[in-house]
Amino acid sequence: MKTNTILEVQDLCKTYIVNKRQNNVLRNVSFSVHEGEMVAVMGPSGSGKSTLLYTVSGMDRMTAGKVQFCGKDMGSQNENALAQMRLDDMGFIFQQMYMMKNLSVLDNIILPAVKSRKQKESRKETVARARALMKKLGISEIADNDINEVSGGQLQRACICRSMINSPKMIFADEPTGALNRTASGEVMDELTKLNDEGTTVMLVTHDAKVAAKCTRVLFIVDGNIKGEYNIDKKLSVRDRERGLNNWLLEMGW
Amino acid sequence: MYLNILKKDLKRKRTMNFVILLFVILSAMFFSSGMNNIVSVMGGVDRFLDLAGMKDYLIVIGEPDNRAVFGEELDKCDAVSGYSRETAIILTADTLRIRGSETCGFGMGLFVPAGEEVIRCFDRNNEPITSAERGKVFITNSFAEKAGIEDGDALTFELCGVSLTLESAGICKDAVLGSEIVDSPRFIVHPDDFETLFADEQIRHAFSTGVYMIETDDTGAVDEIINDVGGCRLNAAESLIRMTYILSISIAAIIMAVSIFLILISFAVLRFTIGFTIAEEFREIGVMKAIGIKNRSIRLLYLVKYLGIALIGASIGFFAGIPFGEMLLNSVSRNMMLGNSHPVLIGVLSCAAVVGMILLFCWGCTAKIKKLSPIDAVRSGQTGERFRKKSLLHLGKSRLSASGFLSCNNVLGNPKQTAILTAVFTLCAVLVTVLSNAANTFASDKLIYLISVTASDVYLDRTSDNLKVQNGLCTLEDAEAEIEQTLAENGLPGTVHVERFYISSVELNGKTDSGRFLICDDTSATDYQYSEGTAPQYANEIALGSLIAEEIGAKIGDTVSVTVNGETRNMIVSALFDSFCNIGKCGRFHESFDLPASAMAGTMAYQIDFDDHPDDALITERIAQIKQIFGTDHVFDKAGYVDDCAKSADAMSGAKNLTMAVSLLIILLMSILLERSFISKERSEIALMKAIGFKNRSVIGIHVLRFVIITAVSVLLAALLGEPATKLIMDPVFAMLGALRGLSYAHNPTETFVIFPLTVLAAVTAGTFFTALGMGRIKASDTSGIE
Repeated sequence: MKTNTILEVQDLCKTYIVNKRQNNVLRNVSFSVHEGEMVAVMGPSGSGKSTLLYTVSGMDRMTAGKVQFCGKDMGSQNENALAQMRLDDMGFIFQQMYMMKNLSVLDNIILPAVKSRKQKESRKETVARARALMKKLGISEIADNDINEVSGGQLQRACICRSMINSPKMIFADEPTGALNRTASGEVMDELTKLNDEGTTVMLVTHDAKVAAKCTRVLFIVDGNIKGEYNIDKKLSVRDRERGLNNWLLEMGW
Repeated sequence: MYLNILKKDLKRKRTMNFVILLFVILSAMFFSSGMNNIVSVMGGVDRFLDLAGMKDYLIVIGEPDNRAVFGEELDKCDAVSGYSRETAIILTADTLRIRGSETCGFGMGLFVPAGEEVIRCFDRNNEPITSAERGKVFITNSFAEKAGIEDGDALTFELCGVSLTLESAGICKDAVLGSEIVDSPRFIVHPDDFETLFADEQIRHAFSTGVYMIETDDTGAVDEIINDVGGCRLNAAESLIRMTYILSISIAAIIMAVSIFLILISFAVLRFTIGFTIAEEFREIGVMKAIGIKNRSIRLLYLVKYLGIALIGASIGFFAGIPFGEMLLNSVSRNMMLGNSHPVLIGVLSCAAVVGMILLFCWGCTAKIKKLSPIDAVRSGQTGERFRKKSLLHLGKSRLSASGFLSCNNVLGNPKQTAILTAVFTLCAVLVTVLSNAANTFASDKLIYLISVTASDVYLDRTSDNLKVQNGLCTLEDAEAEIEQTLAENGLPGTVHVERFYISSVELNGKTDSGRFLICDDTSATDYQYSEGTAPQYANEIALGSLIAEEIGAKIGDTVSVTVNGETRNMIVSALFDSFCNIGKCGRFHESFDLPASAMAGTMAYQIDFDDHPDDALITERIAQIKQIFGTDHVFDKAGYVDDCAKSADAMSGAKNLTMAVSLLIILLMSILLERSFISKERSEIALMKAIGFKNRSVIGIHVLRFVIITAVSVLLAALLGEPATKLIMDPVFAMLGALRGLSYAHNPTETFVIFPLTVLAAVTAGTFFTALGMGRIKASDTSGIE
């Protein structure tokens, strides 16, 4: 089934100048992500995975190339427009479970919704929606807790709730399970997979083949270039998917 | 290693270190100059009076006959161990023309021959004036400045038809009568020039006077002689003369208070900075501990940085303090000789004290290092303990916008930080409000009752008429009638009355004190304000100034012995009142008390009440007219007369402006420093907010709003605390001037509730906003690089 393209990346370059030395982190990267896809970006450390995620999501500026998100050229948007896009149309999950320190878990989750007002709803309705999301992700009991009072897995699920609160068109996740143990990692990935099954497009960066195996497609990036692309058949068993991906990764030199 | 750490830190935290450096510079500068100022002025008054030959009691006696008797009595008096005497000619403002035609008002001038003074005066270079060239005159500095007299200007003295024009040879520093508050200039001339006037019989009779410097340990005994002899124009004990330097001392004290305040602010700034630095560097500290470096060594590492900043700041502050101190002392040093022979040593010691205090404080602040453990390094500052207090506000229940909520939540969520900031901003605003209230009070007519006169439209100071009355050439009624007639002829009909005063002594249970005792034939004793008791109703009742009552221990209902015009009477104290008159050493007789005007020591200003009850604007116009009619500058409205008597409005206004400037600088620097610290501390939150879609301007808005909330609370507190703080700080100052029971201060609501709050708010907003612009460098993608 062919769906609409939500993210179109063409010849994307990102160069950092550090101490007058040019560091080309991304070199003419091109790919696209379709609605409902769950794409994993893998690659060795320093290959440019996170930079790619931040650049295509408008968190960082590209040096050259073209990125279109929902048909909008990201390169021509100013900082405010990009911020508005991140607020309304994108969701973010980070490896470290960043949250505002002085807010409760629930307040952290509803913060983007209160800021955005994308949904024309009262504060009560926002809270109700956030509680429903939390219930769905199994963390309703920590709503009023301080962020220091909950476990890493719970906190990451709260981050997923926050990323979902504005019903984004796409979620970007930078190693969402990187700081979690195996159990918590599995739980978080289950939630992301569920969201994807419900229609949310997801693009995530990971080092973990088990995590990547839950996606529909894997991009392998080396030295700022996409070296290969691997499609995963969701109909296969988890084990088969992981085995297939691992074999492919070995071919890629992983 | 220490130097490397210092270098690295100075590079990384340039703004924060620069602001701390600025505070250290300001603290050292104010502290060293404040200390020097205090030593110079306090020591200066002692030294100046010593060098000038000030003894225990200064008396000025008018008529030659009185002087002869007074001398005899002094010789006989056992309490007097010695005295010196000089002859002077009393000058009034209308006897002097400057540069041909200009006039300038003053209280009572003394025209004296050089080399014969009982009070030694000094020239601009602090050399004693022992002679004056023929045709030249030295003039008391405060008057020369007031009249704008430059060296070489012509001064024409004209008395009883005899005219003498002299050229200004320069200023003289007069320890006894040279203070601005006294307003009695001295004109030192060549003996031959003195003789030119003194040779005239009429001048000798009406204007000559004897100035006595008396050594005694019992001023009461001398008071008795004065009262027996009469004709006293001025009496001032050494303590009273010392009090005339209260303004200079007050300014020195204010500078000292500002410097202490600055040091306290520096401490607050340091506490914040050290707290932030330690919180930021928990990992480094944890690693150092993990590899076995002791707490003390780690604390010393941090101390090195602050020692460096303190040393550099104190050195710059020391050098900056020299011209600053000189600038502050400039006006004082022109009037008096200063008593500080070791300004450099005091400056160095003060700066060293600032460095010491800062280091001690820093050592205390680094105690937090002891709490950090190696675990912090591996657990990202989380020790596993979770005792954080929950936030008071909930976004879900709030009606505030996201930005407004985050600002409020931050303010309430960091009570310590908020409390310190609020305290500093409030203190700054309160200090400015206090000085503003004091300056407004001095500049208002609210204090007219403290001058011990009734409220009138215009006050006309004419000392020349006093001499005529004292010499029997006319009566006070004649003088009043003449002014009334002149005014009427110029289309300004009104009534004129004047308070006259006598130098009297009052005694109770063996305790004696003397002062100015007022009486007025045209008003009733009930027209005046008393702080206790009721106005004198009969001739045998008296109201005493609070200070004189305190000195002799008199209370309402006590019977005191009052000696005036050579007679001693028993009088009942019916009331007590506060007064600036003679710095609180005064009293009031009932109007029926019979005292000859010729025996008076002087009068207050002639009070004019126009028949048509003009408004303030018209009074101002008429004052200009009256100045022209009577050829004098000494014409005032109520507020002007208060200022002329208290001579404090300018000094207070200057202190207010200085405090305002320093406070704004502090507020601005604090805002910059703290916002810089917040950006550094909240880097991850800023990046996160940007990542989830907050625009840069929203994040800046959150930070600015946080400061605005704190400032708004601070200025509100300052407005509430302004009045009690004014009473607390200024009442003792006013008490020294004679208002022992405090007073109701004049407020300028526009200043207190609009100008100051808005200025403080503007300074905070500007400081925070421009610093917060630096947040633009933090990108949403920085979330990935934050630990």
